[in-house]
Amino acid sequence: MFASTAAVAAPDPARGEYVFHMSGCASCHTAEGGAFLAGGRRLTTPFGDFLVPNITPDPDTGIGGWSAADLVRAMAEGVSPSGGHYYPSFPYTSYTRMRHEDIADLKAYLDTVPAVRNDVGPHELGFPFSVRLGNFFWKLLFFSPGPFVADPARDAEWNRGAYLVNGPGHCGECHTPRNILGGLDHDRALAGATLPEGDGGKVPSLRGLDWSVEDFVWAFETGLLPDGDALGSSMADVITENTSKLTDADRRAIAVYLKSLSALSTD
Amino acid sequence: MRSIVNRRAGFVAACTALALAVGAAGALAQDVVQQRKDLMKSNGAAMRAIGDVVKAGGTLDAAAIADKAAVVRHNATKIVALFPAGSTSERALPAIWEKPDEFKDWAMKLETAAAALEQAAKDNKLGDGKALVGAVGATCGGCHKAFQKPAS
Repeated sequence: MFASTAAVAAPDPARGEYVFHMSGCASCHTAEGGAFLAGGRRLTTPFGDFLVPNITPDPDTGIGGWSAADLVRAMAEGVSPSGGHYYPSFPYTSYTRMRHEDIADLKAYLDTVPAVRNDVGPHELGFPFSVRLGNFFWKLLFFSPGPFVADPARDAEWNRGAYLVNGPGHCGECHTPRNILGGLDHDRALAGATLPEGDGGKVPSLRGLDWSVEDFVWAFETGLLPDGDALGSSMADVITENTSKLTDADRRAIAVYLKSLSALSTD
Repeated sequence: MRSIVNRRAGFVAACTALALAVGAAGALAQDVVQQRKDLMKSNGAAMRAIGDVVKAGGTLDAAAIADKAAVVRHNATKIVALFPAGSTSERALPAIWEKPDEFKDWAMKLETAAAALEQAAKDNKLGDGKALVGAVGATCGGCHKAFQKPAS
């Protein structure tokens, strides 16, 4: 099914670069001070340390040997080319909503970045999380695969925003609270959470903010909040690497979608 | 007797002086923390004002933007001195004193970005203003990410 969808249009690296910014890959796959997309960043979580892989086209330590269909399978199903189940530290739980054409374009772009040899070691997880087969059962419980389905009752702008937020943007991976096993609590989607890695800081709710569409667009472009304060923490990179590189139309679509959500805060 | 009284008075005076000195140092540290909080608030207010002008669109009030950008540029030159060694506060990360060169570099970046915005406003070359203000915002966010503990 993937080969057929990926083969619809010739993959376009220029479009793929845009998908790359929509998807926020650099936030995790480029380590602080490390080579672009060569991985190695350590995500410290209650389950152990995840080491983010190299996604440059290096054939041995990166994903140079992957086909577009391999990347589609990884992002849409959370399954590696060798058939292993990924840990949800890789946000395929959101990427599964992406259009497969977008992922194929993304692969075409990733093939153009400099190949860097960087052998990132395996994740450093405690038992029982170190047992990869557990991911299979985790997925049965918490993973609902399948592309984004547009809501016909809403206009194209809203649907574009919903796609960007819930698919490539994977906003919920930090802004939606998780249960004790790390599954996202979809009843409280985007209602604010505790950061799943690092210092476990508070992530604010995106629902019911007293912001205009212009305030959202402004924050996505400049990183500045309506009161003039700046978005710091991990959101600083999200702004500079991702949202500031989107079109104004896409920033607006995200704003329209977020503003349509009913007010809800986890606190 | 007299000498003992004198000595005691001297001791009391010394203690008082010491207490005052310690108190003054503490007050000074408090002072510098308050000063930098005020400075950051002043930056926030300036960026808010700039944001309000640019968000409104249309013909931008370049003079207002130049004024506020000048405030931020001027503030940026004072940041490093307001973080002397030992002046810890709840959201100031130890990295400020562990990586002083990096910290100084961010303050310099802010000064440069604010100066560029100010100059463009004076030359009437703002365009829609967003890229130039975004460059200032990126230095705010980048520095906060590295050196400010997230709000809890």
